[in-house]
Amino acid sequence: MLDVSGVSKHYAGPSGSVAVLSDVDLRLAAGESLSIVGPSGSGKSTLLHVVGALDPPSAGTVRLDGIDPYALGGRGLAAFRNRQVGFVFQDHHLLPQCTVLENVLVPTLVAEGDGASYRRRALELLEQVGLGRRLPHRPGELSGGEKQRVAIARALVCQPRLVLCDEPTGNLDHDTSDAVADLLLDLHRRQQTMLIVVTHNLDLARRFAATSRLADGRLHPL
Amino acid sequence: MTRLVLRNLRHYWRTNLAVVAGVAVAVAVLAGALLVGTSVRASLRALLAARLGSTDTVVASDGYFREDLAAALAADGVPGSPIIHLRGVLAHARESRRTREVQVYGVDERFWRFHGLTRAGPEGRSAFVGADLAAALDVRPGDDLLLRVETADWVPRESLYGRRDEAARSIRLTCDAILPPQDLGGFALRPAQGRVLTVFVPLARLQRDLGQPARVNTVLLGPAGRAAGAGWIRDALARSIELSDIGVSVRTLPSGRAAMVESDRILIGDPIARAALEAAAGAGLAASGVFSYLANAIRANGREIPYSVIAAADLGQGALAGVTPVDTGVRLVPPAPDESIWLNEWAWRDLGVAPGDAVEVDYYLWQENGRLSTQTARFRLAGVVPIGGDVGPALAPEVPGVSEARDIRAWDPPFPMDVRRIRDADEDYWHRHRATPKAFVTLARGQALWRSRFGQLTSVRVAQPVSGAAAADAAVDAALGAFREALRKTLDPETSGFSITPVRARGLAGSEGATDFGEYFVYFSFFLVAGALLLSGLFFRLGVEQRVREIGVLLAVGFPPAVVRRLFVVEGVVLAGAGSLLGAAGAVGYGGLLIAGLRTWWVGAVGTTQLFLQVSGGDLAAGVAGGMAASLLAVFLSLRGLRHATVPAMLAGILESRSAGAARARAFAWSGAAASAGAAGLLVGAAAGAVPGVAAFFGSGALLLASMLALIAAWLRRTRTDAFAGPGWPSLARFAAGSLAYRPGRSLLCIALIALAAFVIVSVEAFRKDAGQADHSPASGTGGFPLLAEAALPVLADPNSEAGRDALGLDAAELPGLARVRFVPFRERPGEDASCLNLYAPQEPRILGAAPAFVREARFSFTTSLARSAEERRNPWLLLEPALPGGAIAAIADATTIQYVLHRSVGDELIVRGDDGTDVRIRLVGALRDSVLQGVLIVGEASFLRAFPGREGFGFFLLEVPVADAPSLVRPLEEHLADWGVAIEQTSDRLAAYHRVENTYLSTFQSLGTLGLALGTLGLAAVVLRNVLERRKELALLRAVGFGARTIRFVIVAETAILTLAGVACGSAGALVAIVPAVLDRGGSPPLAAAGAMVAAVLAAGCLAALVAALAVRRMPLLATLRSE
Repeated sequence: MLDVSGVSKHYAGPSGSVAVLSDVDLRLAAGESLSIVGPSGSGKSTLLHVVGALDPPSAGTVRLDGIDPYALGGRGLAAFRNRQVGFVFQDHHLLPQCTVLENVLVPTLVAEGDGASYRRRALELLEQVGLGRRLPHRPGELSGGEKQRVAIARALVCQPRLVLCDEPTGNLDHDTSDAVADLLLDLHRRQQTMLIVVTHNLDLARRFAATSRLADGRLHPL
Repeated sequence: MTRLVLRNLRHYWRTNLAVVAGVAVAVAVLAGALLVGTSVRASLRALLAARLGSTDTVVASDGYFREDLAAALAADGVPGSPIIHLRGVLAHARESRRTREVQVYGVDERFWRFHGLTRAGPEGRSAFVGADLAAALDVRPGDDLLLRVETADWVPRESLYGRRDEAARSIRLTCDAILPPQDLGGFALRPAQGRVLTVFVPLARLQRDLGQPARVNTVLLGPAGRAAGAGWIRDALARSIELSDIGVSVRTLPSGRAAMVESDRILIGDPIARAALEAAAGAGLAASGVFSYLANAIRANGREIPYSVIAAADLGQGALAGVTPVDTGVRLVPPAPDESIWLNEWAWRDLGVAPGDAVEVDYYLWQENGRLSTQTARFRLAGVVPIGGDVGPALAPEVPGVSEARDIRAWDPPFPMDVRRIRDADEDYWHRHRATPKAFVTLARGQALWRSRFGQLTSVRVAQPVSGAAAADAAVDAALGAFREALRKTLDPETSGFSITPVRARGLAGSEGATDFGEYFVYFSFFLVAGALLLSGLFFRLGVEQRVREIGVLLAVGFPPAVVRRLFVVEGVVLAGAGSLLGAAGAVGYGGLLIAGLRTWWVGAVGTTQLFLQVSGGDLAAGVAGGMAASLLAVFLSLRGLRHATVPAMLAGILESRSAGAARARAFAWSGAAASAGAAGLLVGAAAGAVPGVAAFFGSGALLLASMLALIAAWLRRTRTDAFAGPGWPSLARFAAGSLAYRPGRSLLCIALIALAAFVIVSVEAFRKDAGQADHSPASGTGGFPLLAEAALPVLADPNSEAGRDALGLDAAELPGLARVRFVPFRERPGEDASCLNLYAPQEPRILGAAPAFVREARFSFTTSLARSAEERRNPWLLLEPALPGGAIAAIADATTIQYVLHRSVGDELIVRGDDGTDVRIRLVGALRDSVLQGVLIVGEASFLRAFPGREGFGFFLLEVPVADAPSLVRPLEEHLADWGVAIEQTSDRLAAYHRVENTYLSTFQSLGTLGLALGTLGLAAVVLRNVLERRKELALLRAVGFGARTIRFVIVAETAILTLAGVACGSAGALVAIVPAVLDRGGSPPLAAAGAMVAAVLAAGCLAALVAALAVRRMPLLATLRSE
């Protein structure tokens, strides 16, 4: 269970403090998915970063299965991100020096478990995202959609409880966006993860079980 | 376009600054190294000028000549100064300190005037002492000094008539002043950068004490005017010289119809004899050579005549045509010429011998070991000659201590004599006929019996020919006068003991240096230069890589590739130009630092602190040109790397397509394989003896290094099929290694930078020589001789014989260890030190003559020789004995002397000046391995005496003593042999001194190699930081997916460590192969400690840089970095 309670986030701006999130509450159970829409600059990505243990909130708490990641400290926080959260960035952030397979396996380098089973899982995921034949390729040799699919596989390789996607189709054409969305939902169903997708694409947002709108720093269910 | 270039330069200023810094360092190091060479040469020239004063040319003689000759030579406005120049030993009269190799100058006010100084004196018994000598002996004004110099006898001491007991004499002096270098306290006629021990004594005092009034042995001449040609001094000398200047006299006999050409040396050298015969023929006079000798006994029929003059001359011929035998009434077939002896009437009657009877003659013969032996020759009486007329005392030379004696018993001869054998009849003969020869043999037989290296005649008799009408007295007088003048003109001063040495020109040639320090420092700085250029290239490449998308955009918007290339080339030229200008300024600082280093830390390599920096525009320009060229090459190579990339790939930030990468990987793999094969081939060649060992191993080591770098380049570009997976350090390390492959060129440059420096440091370390305990086996560098001795004055006695030790004052009772000392003497032709201790290139190296006994001992080891037979290979010293075709003389020298000082190889020849002024060709036939004999050329004794017959006695000794006794014998032996200025040194110390110089060079090389390594490490650090900055988004992503700070730190450090270790491993492995011969040669172990220390240092520095980079990463805000572009 993801429990976000009273989360606020302020940034210091040139003309004083800027409130991006104000008293945000959010709950999500395993197997549930949520899309968050809102105009640019509404704080969607910030919320995702706060939820994904990348950016501590100014106020409020984030708990995943009762654990507050921000209370864990440096090493615990890193381990939490590695094991509990899978992130898909708009810019995918693949490592250019690594192959497709290696990019998927990068999080496993600091995970717990057996390398061979991670490798099997990575291969399965890449099969599932349709890149089973592109294993030795480098990111520079992939299309935008393919890169995003690699990023999705990477987000899922450690079997996280929570998958967070920040504009996963932001740089993709319509057809490719649909394919990526299909993939995300399919994998979500199979893995029974909690899935939060931030997007300003309403068509994409509607494909998720629940949709909220972030405005004035607060979440408004649609 | 210009504005675009300017904008680019400004926008990427950080990267550009690094490029400029790299070029600046390279230019500074290159030009700085060249400045060192120029500075050392300029310093040597300045030192030479300070030491020579106004001296340009030196006219010297091995005898003494009229000091007026100086005035004759100094005509035509060329300044000149007559002096006496000797080697001597100076002792502090009260203290027990003494020093050898003192340059003694007998001078008067003309000397100071010649040098433009207003000083006068010294006068009376005062002396001026040079500052170095004063410091060595702790002499102060007013101190009493005892100077010992060689006496000025003309008569060769290594001949029957030479006085060996008076070889040197002492002169008591008082120090009047200490002369600093600027007042000619360091006056020296032979270039050397070390200290110079000089003492100036009054010319008149020296002339009086040496018995040479108004005579000198040296004239200093100032620079001749432009009009004067090279032969001007030679012509002036020939014009001005008198016969007395070369110790020759023409004595008209009382008859007035004949004259004797004689020499103050008693023996007439061959050139003078030839000149006399030639001049006589020119003057229409008959001439006969006469070789008079001493017969210890003339024996026949059981009777003997003691101590008689016997003459070898062809009676009845030439100027002795008037000598006709007495009719003895006996007719018989005359004995063969070689068997014939003619007695004078007195001796014939005294011996009661008849023609045809056997006559024996005992005589002394000089042995080259310093002893006189008694020999006997057998003859048959061929005839009897009358006393009187041509048979008179004039046929015998004037022998000091003999000729002027009233009685035979009053003789003071230089040879042993038993006066008890002298009879009254002999004294009666002496009173009536003085030295009139009692017996005659043919000239050829006499010369065969008594041959000496100093000459084969004691006189040349010239006379009016017997045939034809007797000329009037006046005509004979005129003919003899003409003969005198013709002889004077015919004699070549330079074959008669004079030498003309253009000391300034030769010193200037020598100051070009035995060692080109510029060249050496370019070598030494090579890795520093290479490192700086690699770094510069690396940064330029980083800049290009950083801007690969920009290049893609430019190409995409229609820029022709050539224009894009030009854009970057222009930027490169601007950066290289700026770097070069900065580097030129830096070169002055770097050169100054190196010169300061040579004056202080590395003074062991140069032996002088009088070096200064000389800034030369040419050197700076050469450094700038070299640095610019190399930088532009780096620019070119960086841009060349882009030709493999397509525009879309560049837009995607990719420099090299997969196929291009694979092709290059293949090319690198093949290159690596080829280099490996080449390395193996060289080793096989070395094993088969086809390639010299050192060259083969060094070549194969370098090829191995190249091969490893090529294989790493191929590996970095390989298509990876395996992938890391799962947690753990091995996976993380593989992840780190994979990151290195992303920019393979960058990684390879880092590895190469470190590998090259490691190669130098490890390989140089192997050549370091032990400066401590020396080996004393016969094949070692000491030859098994724990001590060596050098004498300032020639030692004429044999220090191994009882008589010789007596003569030398070596008393076994006072020197308990003496019985266990064996002296191995070497003859010496003084010359310039050709060891690594002398910076000047020797023009006339010191030459030693090795006795046959030493040659047969097969001491020392050889690196190479011209040995052919098995016996010669076993003992290459034997190569010194046979005469070489074409008249060259075989010589052996230390390998260091041959290679680094003389810049020759075994088999090469060099020319030195023989005693008769002619060129002597010296052929190098063997090179000694790391020996105590460095700095000299060693020739066989027979060859030595042929080329340098005037060099008497021994100047150098190797001493065989029990090793344990050696240290305790040094001081007592020196004290006992102090009169000869003998300095004893432990061979281990001498060898250590040579090794210190070589090790200092190696330290210099290593210091600069280490600096190169530091630069490499700095570059590595810069690359690591650069990589981290470039990959900050990647590292942020790693943090986002759960990498902790420690893990990221590990990844960064692992990448650095892999680069460092790969570099060190490649460099060390190549170096270890390269040094195999050096390690085997020295029997030591490879320099693992040094290599280990270096690995640790580089690794530590690299890891530190990585940690700094990791800390920088930690400070980067994660989200901002993820979002950043």
